[in-house]
Amino acid sequence: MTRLRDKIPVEPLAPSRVARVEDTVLAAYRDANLAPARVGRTLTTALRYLAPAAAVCGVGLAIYLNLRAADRTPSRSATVTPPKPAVTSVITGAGESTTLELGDARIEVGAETSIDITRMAGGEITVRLRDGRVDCDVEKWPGRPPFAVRAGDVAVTVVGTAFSVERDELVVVRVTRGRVHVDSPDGATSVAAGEEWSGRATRLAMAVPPPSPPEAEPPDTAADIGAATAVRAPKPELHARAESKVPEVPESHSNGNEQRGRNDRSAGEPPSAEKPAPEKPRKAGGRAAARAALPAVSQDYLSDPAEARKSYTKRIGKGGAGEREEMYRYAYLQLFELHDARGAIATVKMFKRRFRVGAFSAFSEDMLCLSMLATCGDGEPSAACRKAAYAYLDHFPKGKYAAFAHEIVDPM
Amino acid sequence: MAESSHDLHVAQRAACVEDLVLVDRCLGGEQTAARELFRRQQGRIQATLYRILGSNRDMEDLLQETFIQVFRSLPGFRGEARLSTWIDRIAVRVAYRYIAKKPPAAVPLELVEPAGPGASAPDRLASAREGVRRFYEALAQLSAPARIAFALHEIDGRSVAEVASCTESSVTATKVRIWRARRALRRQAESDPVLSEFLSDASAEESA
Repeated sequence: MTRLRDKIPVEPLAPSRVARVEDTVLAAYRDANLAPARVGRTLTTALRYLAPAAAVCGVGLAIYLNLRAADRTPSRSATVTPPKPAVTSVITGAGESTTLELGDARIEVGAETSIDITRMAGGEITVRLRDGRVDCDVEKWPGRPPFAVRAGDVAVTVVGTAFSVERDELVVVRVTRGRVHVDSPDGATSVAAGEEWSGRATRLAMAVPPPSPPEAEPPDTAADIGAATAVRAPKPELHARAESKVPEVPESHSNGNEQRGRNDRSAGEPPSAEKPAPEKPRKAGGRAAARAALPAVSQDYLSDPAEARKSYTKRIGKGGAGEREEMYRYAYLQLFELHDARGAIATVKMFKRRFRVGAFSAFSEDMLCLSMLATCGDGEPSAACRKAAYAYLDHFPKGKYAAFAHEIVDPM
Repeated sequence: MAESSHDLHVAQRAACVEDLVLVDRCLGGEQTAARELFRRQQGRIQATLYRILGSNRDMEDLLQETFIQVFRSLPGFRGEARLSTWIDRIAVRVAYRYIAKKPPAAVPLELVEPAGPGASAPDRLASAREGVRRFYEALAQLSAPARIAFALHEIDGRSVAEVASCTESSVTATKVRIWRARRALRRQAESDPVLSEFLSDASAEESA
């Protein structure tokens, strides 16, 4: 019966599902913070195991490790990335421009430009250009994670160069230093320094209409609106350069211009999660920060809540790892778009019944945070609110929403 | 001959060094190393899990669980076996827990006629799929150790010694498990024409 192997071919998982598992596993690995406890022991074992070939292999290993050590400095700096893909949106108005620094990559955002910057767990950076122009200067070093600009169907990938991408009716790529790889529906090509490439982006990206908050919007709510449009809190390494041409605005987000508020946050003002304004009430700041730290839910999912609700209801219950993410998105939608806190709590409960909650269970931490946000109002924490906070702290005493939970269980 | 054997020996040792360096890089917190390990091993783990469990809607969860166990256990990797063998053991443990946790599926009562020699290609394909399904249903009736030993030996084509190493049991116990599984499947096939045809085809191909 050895031919059973031929009769039962393996059906591999779809690449998208494998990629999802990869992201989850690597995020869990990073969060677990495994200490380099046995580097020496492993090498000792290796030498003992390889005693007959030690003379040959040892030299090779030493050379290899030296090369690795030379590469490590930059690659470690690249690993200081957010634990999950972090998305930051930047929108500039007429006459405005700004410069962003992402580690050793610099992006100059032109006027009337809308971009989404995604930083993946491995350090890869993708700039999604919805409209306008970006000039990028990417430093080159060995082993650099890819840096890509996507304008509709056109993808420009580099590992160290200076170039600009402009998107109007056509996408225009101009290279000033190095070489870039352009992938478009017409085919892939390479563009060298001094050359220019142009083509049509066949699939136009959906423009994100920035919501306009009311005049007297309190700071927390304004921040919440920012989060609801898939704007994630910028990471510390993402900051505007000193020569940013964006005009300074006051700390408060109640200036009535959401575009500008989002731009300013992305361009360097620390989000409330990292440095809460002293005049803000502590609890309110924690709530907004917790919400801003939640994983992004794509704008596509939020644009039509009623339709999305139907879709989620249909998909949830089908099983599989993707269900965790679907349930998270559904709870997020219920809480922030449909304003159905009870529904969100019910979804969280369903999640807890179906999946184990813990450090290695994807989205469980975020679901517990949603539970806190759904049960806790602005006033004195209710019993349910405190229970949700204790449940969170039981599982994630040092989690990313722990500050918010502590504020609930131990108010000042 | 001696030279090729020597080359093989050197290549195996080089692979061991490569494994150890990769593990050390992972333990050093290098994200790229963890990604490399995932990409190198995910196909193998998927195949191992698939051979043991068949088509399974929880495959994504199982793959994830296996890798999480792998990364948790990396500090315990001593380099005494190949990294792939060590990871296989973890995958087998994950599969074992899954089988032990899940009650065996009920065998359906409907009768499906096996496709005869004159059957059309789609009919044969459908019959082959049904055969695979029945086969895994029959496997699900076995004990977890017998099922795993049988799947790794008969479906995945590993040697008895390798299966014994993966399941952390003796060669004798592994042989007994495989033999019991074969006997149980043969009995099951007596009352199931589709399964019988599926297994007899495999036996015929083997003898040919």
